[in-house]
Amino acid sequence: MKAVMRQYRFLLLMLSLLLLTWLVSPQSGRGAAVATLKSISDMLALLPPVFLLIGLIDVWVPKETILKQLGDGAGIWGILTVLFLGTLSAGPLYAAFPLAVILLEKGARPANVYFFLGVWSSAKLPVIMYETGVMGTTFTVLHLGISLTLYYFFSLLTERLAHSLQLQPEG
Amino acid sequence: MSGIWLYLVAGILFLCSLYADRAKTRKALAKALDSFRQILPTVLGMMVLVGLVTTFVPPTTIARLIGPQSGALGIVTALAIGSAAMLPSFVAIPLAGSLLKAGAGYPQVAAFISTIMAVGVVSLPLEARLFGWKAAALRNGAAFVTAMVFTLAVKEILV
Repeated sequence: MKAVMRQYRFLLLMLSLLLLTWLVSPQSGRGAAVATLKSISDMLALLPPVFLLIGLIDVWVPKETILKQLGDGAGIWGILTVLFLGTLSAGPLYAAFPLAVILLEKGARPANVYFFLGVWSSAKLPVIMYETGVMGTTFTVLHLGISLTLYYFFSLLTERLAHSLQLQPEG
Repeated sequence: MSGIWLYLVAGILFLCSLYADRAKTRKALAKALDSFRQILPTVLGMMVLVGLVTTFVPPTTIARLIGPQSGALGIVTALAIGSAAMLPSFVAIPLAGSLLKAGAGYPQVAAFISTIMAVGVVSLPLEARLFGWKAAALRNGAAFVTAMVFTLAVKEILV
């Protein structure tokens, strides 16, 4: 309930600001309301299939089962699994944090876990299609190509830097 | 145009799913509605915010700050705003569309959305508690560098 309140707090704040604007200056309030409705209708035109895809993926892709098989030494399989799961998962990046912690605890390769976070943040299949619609194909291809390549490289680097340091005091 | 193929792909997969398993498809629809309901308040709030901002901040000001002619300073501004907090990509993309329509430039929008999805200074303490400061800082730093490379690529290729 508290979480629900927090979700709506921002919207309520914005709506009261809009109302206040309308009371102070009806003309500006009208302008803001029209602009808002326009962006909402733009969004609603593309969002339904995005969420339909999210629902379908969630039901048909057995994420937990696949994650359990992501052990150490998974090799190229590990990368592909991570790529697959990251693009097919739903939710904001902080929803992936607890999952990443579980993966690390279960002995998944740290580089794979960091790559998973990168893929999760920037390359979700339904959002990729949505992004193509809003920003154009070239923009989206650049975003994906550069992000995935660099995230993979940086995940190896993070593993080397962060984990060698953690191991040193113990060894 | 790409909106059409988004509907097409979702529609075809939905029909396949319906054919294969009715109960699962019903669950998928419930999940879709649930996810949608969860992000809706944030997205609607952002839309009102954008509506208000575009009413009070004239397009010329937006263009001066993060417009196509704002150059490196506009990119730095967009990177800084985007790095402050994290927003899920479903919220970031419609926001990017609104910014573009309000007169923002492509590289500046690229800088904004790539950082808003992956870099979060506000959530850094939470991330550090889970992964350690070193790993959290490295992940955010890496995402920031990636965002910069992407922005430069958009600037070179799309503009």
